[in-house]
Amino acid sequence: MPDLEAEDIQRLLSRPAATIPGQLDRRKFLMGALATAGALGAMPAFFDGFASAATPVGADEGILLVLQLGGGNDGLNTVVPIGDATYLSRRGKLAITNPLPITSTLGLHPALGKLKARYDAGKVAIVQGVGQPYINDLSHFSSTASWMAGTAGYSRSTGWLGRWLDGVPESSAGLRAVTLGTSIPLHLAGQQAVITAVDTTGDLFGADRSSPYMVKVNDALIGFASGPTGKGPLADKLAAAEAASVKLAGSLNPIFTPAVPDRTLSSQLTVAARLINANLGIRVFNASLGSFDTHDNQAVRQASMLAQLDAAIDAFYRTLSPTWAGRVTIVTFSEFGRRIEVNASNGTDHGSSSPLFVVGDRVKGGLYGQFPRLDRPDARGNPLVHVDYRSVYASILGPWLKADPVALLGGSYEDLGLFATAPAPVTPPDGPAPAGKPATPSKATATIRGIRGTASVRGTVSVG
Amino acid sequence: MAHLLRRAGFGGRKADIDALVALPTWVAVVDRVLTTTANPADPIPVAVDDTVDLYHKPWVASVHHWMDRMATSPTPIVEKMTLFWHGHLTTSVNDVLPRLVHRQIRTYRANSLGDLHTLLQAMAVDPAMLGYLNGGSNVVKQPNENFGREVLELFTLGNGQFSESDVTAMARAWTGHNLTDDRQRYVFRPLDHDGGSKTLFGITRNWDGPATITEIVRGSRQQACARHLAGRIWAFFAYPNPSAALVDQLAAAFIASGMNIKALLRAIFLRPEFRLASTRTALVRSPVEWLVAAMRHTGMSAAEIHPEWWLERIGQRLLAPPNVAGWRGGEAWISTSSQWAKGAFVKWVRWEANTRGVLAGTAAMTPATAVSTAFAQYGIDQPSALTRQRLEQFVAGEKAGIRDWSVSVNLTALTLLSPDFQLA
Repeated sequence: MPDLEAEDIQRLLSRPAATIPGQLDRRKFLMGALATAGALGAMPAFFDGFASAATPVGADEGILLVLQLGGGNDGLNTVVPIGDATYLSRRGKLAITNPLPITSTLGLHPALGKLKARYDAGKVAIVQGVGQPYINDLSHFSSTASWMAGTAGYSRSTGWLGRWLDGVPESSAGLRAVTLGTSIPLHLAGQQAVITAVDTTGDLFGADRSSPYMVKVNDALIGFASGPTGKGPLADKLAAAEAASVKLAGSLNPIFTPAVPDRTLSSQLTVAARLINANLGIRVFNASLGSFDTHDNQAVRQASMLAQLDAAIDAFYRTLSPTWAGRVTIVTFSEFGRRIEVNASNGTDHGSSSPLFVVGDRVKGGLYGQFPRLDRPDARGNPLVHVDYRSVYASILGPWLKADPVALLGGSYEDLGLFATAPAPVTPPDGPAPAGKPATPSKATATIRGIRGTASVRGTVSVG
Repeated sequence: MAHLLRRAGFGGRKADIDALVALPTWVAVVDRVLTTTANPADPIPVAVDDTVDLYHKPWVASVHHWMDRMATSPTPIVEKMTLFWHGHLTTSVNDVLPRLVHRQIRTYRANSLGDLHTLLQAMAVDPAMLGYLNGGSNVVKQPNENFGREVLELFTLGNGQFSESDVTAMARAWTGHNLTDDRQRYVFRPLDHDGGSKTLFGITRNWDGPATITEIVRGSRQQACARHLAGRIWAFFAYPNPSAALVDQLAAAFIASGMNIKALLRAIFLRPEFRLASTRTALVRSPVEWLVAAMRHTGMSAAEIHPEWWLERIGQRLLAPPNVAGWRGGEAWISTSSQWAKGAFVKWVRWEANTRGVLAGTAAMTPATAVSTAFAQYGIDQPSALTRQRLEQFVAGEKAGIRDWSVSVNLTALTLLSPDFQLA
């Protein structure tokens, strides 16, 4: 199925980076924020959104984009064993016979052409045979929850990135973690961190000033905070937060211009790249694609989904300003792979291990883990797990996010060594930035200090 | 009256307020609010026990069931207190099947205003709790302290009121109080129970689980337990961080009643501090309370407003508290993200409410009358002068702009998003 929507996005974005709409000028953004602050008076809660939006990502801080392939992606038809007799016989007509070879024995699904090019450029790590070492239950819910929680223990109340975000300054005020969509996934859930759900349609309440009556509605909401409410400090904070959200939605409007057409993965990743370019301080993004639950008619369905994945990663890098490429890593995950054999409906049923992709300019491209031998499956007949999924998390949390994986995961897991170098800005080809100096503003600029100076006051907003 | 109806329930409509105004004294008003004889029967919705989808469909059914009760029950204090217990004696559908959490909440509801001892004993052997805090796998060979610790630290006594050896003794006392193999029901397995002697609160004997709760509620730890819960419940209904003297007096009333929860609530609502002007503005509606208030004041049901679409975005997934300590509440509810989510809800629900005739006719009124009508509709008895001014300005502007159709629609939107309606 031709992915016309993604093609449209790519056409829209195939322009020099400087003219891509959505490359919101950080300086203008902050000035806008400050101007609004003046207009609303010195109400601390007002800074809820802006203060967090105001601290940019540090030059040596990594950004992580988690890409969930929901439903259980068939790993064997994603990274395909070439000429494997067991695969060919048990997969029957679902076997991929024309993969894009990356080694003499492995190839990518034909729909992953752009990812293959990126792999050839050394920017993609493929971790093979990833899964849960002990699994009782192959339900989507249990497996997804385990993947998202990412802990050595049993609790599924928080996620592996949520626990990290809890320790990130200003995360309790939001805009440190964004999920593209409308619901917040468990892997981002912590105990304090506020996750901002941003719909790709840009339908942030307050952004709509296209019709006269919405202008009036927005103005009235901002007006509720134009002075003391006379109903106490909490009411003042509520009014200020409402006004701030309306104003911030208006400020973020350029991110959604031109509008992305839908909620597809390409749209999600396009908006994510625009948000990164605007340097609002967001460290973690979540995007999702699904469903990969191909119990029937798998050949067409999976090809379509993988084509979307391929186009979306490409759209992301076309939108991302080149200077940011060295500070972003994408990691995919799916709750499980699928069984080796084709079922009676030309599909596959729930299996266990599968490969995942880690994409980025700082990634040490290549193969990790081990391709499971299909002639020696586990007791249930599924491909063996060679890499504990938490080992992937440890490999990202430590080197990329500079966190303590043992504390966050509740156990020690092998670092797979996925990164060639630490996060750092890429000096643009024509960029004047001298060696050793970041090309983007650091936390030390006067404007930013000015806003951050209110953080201690704002702290009262998030302490319950 | 409006304040009491907001705090003891989910907001008072005009008829509710008028019924209370007719009563002669505040004591009579409080006793009316605490009268629960009309509490409706509590059948379990069929979809809670769906056998195909064990997760989403039962969660939605349970949330609808509860939020409809909150919005329409003639005894909203029961639902409000159940909401407190759900956030205090927590269990999450992230860890336990929704069908079990639904039954746990049903048990809390049945005991929400009764004897604390009965409630806590039921809580301790509740299958959802046994799953959530690992009591189900607490056996003599491998004691699990999770449940024992939280009972002491969060549920009954609070930090500093117990020792680490008390935690160990609690865990041992509760060994063998487990789950059946299918993890759906409580079972006591004598062979997995530690029958040895244990020292709890300095008392050495062969403690068994239920006796530890009796000791806390009725025995040597009663004072600490009464203070802990009186403070927490006061903070839920009145304002955070009550003074030690106030907590002591509430605890004394609680103890004098034999640890009866309704008696504690009565003591709380009768305190002069409860009726102070500053108390009336000291709490924010939680996302659940805000959505339920929207339901109550528009007359819409859960099936119509689809709380499952909005709860998580606004920041409070009912039946899924973020951790064993429950929701933080208060100012933690206020964030840009949650305001966007509330806005998204309001942008949609304003048309739904309008279709149902909410605020019909306001376009023909003067701005002042239209706004007063909106305040009455949404239970705002003492609006901010600024809110009123901005709303009147809005109505006047829409009328001048010949957008009469916008008046009722957007008065609903603006009133729901006003600071006045967002306060508890």
